[in-house]
Amino acid sequence: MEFKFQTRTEQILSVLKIIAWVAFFGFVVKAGAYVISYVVSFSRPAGAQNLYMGIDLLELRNHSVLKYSTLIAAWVALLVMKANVWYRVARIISLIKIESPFTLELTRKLEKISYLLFSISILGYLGSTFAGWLGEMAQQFQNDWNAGEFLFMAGLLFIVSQIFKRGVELQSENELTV
Amino acid sequence: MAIVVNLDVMMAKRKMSLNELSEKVNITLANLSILKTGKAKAIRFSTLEAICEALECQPGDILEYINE
Repeated sequence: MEFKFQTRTEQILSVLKIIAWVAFFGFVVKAGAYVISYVVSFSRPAGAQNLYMGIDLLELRNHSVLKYSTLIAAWVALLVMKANVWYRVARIISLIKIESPFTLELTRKLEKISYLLFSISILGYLGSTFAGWLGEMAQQFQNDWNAGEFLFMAGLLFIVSQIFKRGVELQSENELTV
Repeated sequence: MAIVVNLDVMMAKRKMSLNELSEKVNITLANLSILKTGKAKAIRFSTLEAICEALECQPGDILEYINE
């Protein structure tokens, strides 16, 4: 019974690892697409009309290159940070040993991810505020920042990391119980 | 730690090696070593019972409290 449970957990972790890597590459590709479209839009302004999957910022680009660049920079930074989160998740899953999963290294990595998620929520809040201030010129960017959701995830993961810390202590005590 | 494990003393009295004790009580050498070197944080009653039976002694012969 115990053997089957461990095997199933390992299978779930393997699937999650694949999902994490797919998500990581997805966000990297998306960020790259925005960067390339942005660069192209400088030599061909019409390129801003279809940055990625129909996103149209031509009006904003014509109004102010600085505001256009700031919005794109913030959005790409957000995508890169999200990719970073998925990369760290994939690395954490690789680290997990089913026999003794509670390690200080894992706890620290979980804490770091929670701080990263918190940073994403801050950037998301600033980005959505900026996009809102730009008005109709950045309408397509106004609702996708998800600052609240990332703040919630950051808090949740931080709590989990603290519980993991206690798990490390309990595991250590258990390992030294003869 | 204030609790001292005098396992090696009892083993010497009974002229038993760590390997022999490990086989008799069915505990790994690694765990017995943890106990012998004072690194153990806790001992199960079942383990203590098995050791006392193998060494023909009382728990007090193996465990000693020293006020630090």
